[in-house]
Amino acid sequence: MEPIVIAAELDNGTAHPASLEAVCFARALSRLAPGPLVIIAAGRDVRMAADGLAAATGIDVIAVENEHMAEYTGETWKKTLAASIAPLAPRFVVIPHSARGYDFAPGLAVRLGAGCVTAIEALSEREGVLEFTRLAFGGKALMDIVPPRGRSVLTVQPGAFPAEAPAPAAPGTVTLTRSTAAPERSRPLGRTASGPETASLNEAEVIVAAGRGIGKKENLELIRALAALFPRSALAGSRAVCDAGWLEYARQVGVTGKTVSPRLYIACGISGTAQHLAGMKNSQTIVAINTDAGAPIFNVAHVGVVEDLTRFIPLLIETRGKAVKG
Amino acid sequence: MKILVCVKQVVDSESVIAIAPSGSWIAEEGLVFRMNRFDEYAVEESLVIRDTFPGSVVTALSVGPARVESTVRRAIEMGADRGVRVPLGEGGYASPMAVASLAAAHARDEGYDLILCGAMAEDDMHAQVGPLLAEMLGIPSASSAIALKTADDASAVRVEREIEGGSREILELSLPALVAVQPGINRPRYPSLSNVLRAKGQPVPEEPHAADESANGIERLARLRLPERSSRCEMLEGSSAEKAEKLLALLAAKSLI
Ligand SMILES: Cc1cc2nc3c(=O)[nH]c(=O)nc-3n(C[C@H](O)[C@H](O)[C@H](O)COP(=O)(O)OP(=O)(O)OC[C@H]3O[C@@H](n4cnc5c(N)ncnc54)[C@H](O)[C@@H]3O)c2cc1C
Repeated sequence: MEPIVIAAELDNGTAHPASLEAVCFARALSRLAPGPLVIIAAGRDVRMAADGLAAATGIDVIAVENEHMAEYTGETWKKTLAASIAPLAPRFVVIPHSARGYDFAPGLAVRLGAGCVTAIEALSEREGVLEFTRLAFGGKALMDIVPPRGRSVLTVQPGAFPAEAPAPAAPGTVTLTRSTAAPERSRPLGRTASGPETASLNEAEVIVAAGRGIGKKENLELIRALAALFPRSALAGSRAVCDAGWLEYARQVGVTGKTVSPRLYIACGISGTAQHLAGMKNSQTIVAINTDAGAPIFNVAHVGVVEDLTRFIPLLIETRGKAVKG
Repeated sequence: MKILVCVKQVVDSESVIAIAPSGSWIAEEGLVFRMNRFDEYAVEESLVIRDTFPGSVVTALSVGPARVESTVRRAIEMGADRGVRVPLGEGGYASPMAVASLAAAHARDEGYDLILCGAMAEDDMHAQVGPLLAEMLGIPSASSAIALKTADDASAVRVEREIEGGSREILELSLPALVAVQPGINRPRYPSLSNVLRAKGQPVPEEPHAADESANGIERLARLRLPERSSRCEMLEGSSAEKAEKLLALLAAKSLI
């Protein structure tokens, strides 16, 4: 049987949590497309992470030690992984859909002569045919994709397959191998620190967030006025609003911004793409105001208001004003 | 420098979408098509680089049916020097593998120094064509680029990639290379009148290439469907005023206001 290979993502000598989610996905996959599971842990000083993975999952791990993998370049990752994965002749290669994963996965597919399906959120079998479900159209639609008959590289959306608690099983065996693949046409130059902390976002009990749906920068005043109804509140925005220069990046919520979980999150004119949801879906109560009843933000919201925010927010503030006075 | 910028035509994301009766794509009649927003940043970046390297030429490429010509033309209106369309299909789902192999067929003999793409397409959200194309051409690539600087001697580009949690990974790629850019890397310009006029008279040649069927497997879209509404969302009903009152009452009940 052709194996299912999981290419683990390592971070400072330990496995990134997304790697365990990829394992969880691979287990579900192996129930529909039977094949032994193998984890590849490639990086510099990998031994500890490899032992950790073998113990946590009970799956055999091939540790690939490569001194050139201290810092990321897609080139080195593709070379190293292709060389260690090809001899295993897997049916599927599973990779976390992280900033690294989606950078190298398509190229790895080309090297392995494989197809490629990215950002998978669910899997199923229909009339004996394996299908992967993923979002499309900014989350307004779902795609069911049938992988090609041959080999496929798959990336798994973080958060979609929560890692199970480690079952007490015998640890997998760890095989240590070496790779000398080095970057020739790319050179890593380090990392910048994460953006400035926005204390107000972390501490706020209520976050009122603006999306492209506010239409113009001036309408931020509406959002500000809405936030002012709540004590301990803060203003945030989607990426689109920060890219437009309407709000500083320190206030961006999402995968490439802040992750927040306030008591109340009010999303105003935000469509609710996966990248934004990743940063706010654990908020205790989510209210969404959006003109489009089909906007995916309503899939995570607890309370939905289909209204034009430029009319609704002033009305809301006015109603509140009357209630307080009266 | 010879710069290639890849642009995709998508349905305007503000549109209310419905699934076509075939279940294989959205119903496209009556919808507005425009350039994928992510690609607007790639076009802008190509123009910025051209301006710092006099004599550079920017080519805009789109792979797709006849209607995508208007998106190539939009890139010319923004300032691209020439446009080309490689025909593929009649619309609907297109595998990134097929699109990338046709783009590679165009790019292979052109000797581009730099290829720019958007980070992903708004419709299929695969984020694959850029990295696939780079690998097919055997050149280095980086995705999620939020800053890009070309070396003075045009031998390399320095790329800052966005990674999780707001930090950036910095790397240098020798040219030729491919970079897939993130929104925020620049502010895409609006077409100038002179460029709009120039684009009007400029042909967008059709350049057919045979798809490379040998190499990689092509996935198939079984169906496109609308997600089920989550049951946990309480949609407020009534007039605007009633909704405002209900919302305030709900928030008060949870002691949030
Ligand atoms: C690698 C990567 C990382 C990313 N990281 C992030 C991230 O960290 N955070 C993030 O937010 N995004 C991120 N994005 C971008 C993300 O995919 C979306 O493009 C972005 O979140 C969209 O922002 P939006 O919802 O404000 O805009 P849109 O998607 O344009 O939505 C606007 C919404 O406003 C509604 N609307 C319009 N007018 C009105 C009105 N008058 N009243 C009420 N509603 C109205 C519309 O119906 C629509 O739903 C990332 C993308 C990529 C590829």
